[in-house]
Amino acid sequence: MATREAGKKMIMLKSPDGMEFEVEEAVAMESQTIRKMIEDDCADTAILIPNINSKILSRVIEYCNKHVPTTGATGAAASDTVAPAALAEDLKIWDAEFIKVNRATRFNLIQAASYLNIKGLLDLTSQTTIDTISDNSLEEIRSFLSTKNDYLPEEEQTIRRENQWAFQ
Amino acid sequence: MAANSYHSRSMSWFVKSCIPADPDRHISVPVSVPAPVAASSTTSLCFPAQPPPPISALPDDLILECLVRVPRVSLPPLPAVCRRFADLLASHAFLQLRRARGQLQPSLLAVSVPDHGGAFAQALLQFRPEQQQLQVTALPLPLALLHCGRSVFAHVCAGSVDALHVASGSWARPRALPGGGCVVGACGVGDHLYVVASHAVELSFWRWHGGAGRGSDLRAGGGWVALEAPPMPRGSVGLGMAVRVTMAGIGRETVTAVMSAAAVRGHNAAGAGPFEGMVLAYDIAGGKWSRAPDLPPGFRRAACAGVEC
Repeated sequence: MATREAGKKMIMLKSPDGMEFEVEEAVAMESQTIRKMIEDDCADTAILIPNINSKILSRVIEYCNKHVPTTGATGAAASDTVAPAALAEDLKIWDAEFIKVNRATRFNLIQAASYLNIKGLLDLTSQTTIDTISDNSLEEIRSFLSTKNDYLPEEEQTIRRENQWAFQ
Repeated sequence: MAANSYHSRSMSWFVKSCIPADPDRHISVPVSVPAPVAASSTTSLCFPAQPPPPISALPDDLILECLVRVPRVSLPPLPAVCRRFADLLASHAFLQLRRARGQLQPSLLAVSVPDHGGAFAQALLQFRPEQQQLQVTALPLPLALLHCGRSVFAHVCAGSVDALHVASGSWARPRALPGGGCVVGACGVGDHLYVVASHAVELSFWRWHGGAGRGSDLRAGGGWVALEAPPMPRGSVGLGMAVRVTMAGIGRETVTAVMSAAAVRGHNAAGAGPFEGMVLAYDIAGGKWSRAPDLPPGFRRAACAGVEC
């Protein structure tokens, strides 16, 4: 088991702006997209991650590092004394801190999560985007999403009438 | 900011298929977007002069990823946010995503036209498996967000019933009920037909299998199986009372029957007075009827359908 610990396979991830990130294979495989590439033996050298700049990629790696499952990894069972529930709670707090970013970064993270197919990160980022929608008025939703109302006044009247129960 | 000019899924497809030696050659190819947004997306895109970026900067599939996480009760106002939202919420992709995430629940949709005319009234009763009962939900969805799916469609006319097996497209007319009752309501659930029949002073409830085993069906009373009769208030069925039943299958587990009873003119009905919109739910696996919340007041002669939303 100790030999395995020492010989962890590392993967090199490259962002389009030329930064290189060396990460453990297990961490990189949090991304289903990268996992597929590794399994298909497409990842011999560095993996270029197009369209995700180094700033976003480093955040994504930070997320994967935190979320890589400890259970199942060699040696984890012996040292792991933290209860799963406490671990999950800890992760939730960590996630909440992690996602305290500006909207541009969050949108970039959504795109990266979708593109790299990291389910947990996609859940976290899109849920955070949408959380404020509940219990808010249309105007508040529009202003929160900075979306413009592109209906003509009479069209908006019609659509409101169709959904009149929703506006009571 | 040409965020809308590509579909991010096509990007992931490219990454999965090995990274090219020369990434410049491999600019993503636009893939047809399932949602019908192309016509309106250019007008709904609004780029402010400075950050933060609007949500419309995201491609359609990622906006869908966000929208699909909105709790059901918060969905109704959203089509009014902007055209692009309305198109995405009405898209088949949105429905599929919600189904895949287990967010669609079998529900009963009741529609009623008020006597004085005017708009349709809708009520949605949601079946919650853990509580084994239907609940009136306060905020029905736009019809575009409802999905209807049954394999048997039943039509009742003049006391007999015709059933259409949707998969094969063939109509069948079951033999007359063994007890000689008059079919007053019917619905299909899976491959079975469920009917409520009136026998002048009582109601009965039957299941009919229109599929395999015709030979044995004939021996066993034309394929009819008698089930527990729907529980009606004392005195609501009988001489002098007219009972109306509208039935709908909810998912694969439940049959609902919306019951109304009215005193026939000229008769003095004893016992219970007239009632409207009483909802009964029959649990197919358990073989038991239970009473669900009534339709809201004002729902007269409601039509019903099993939907998921």
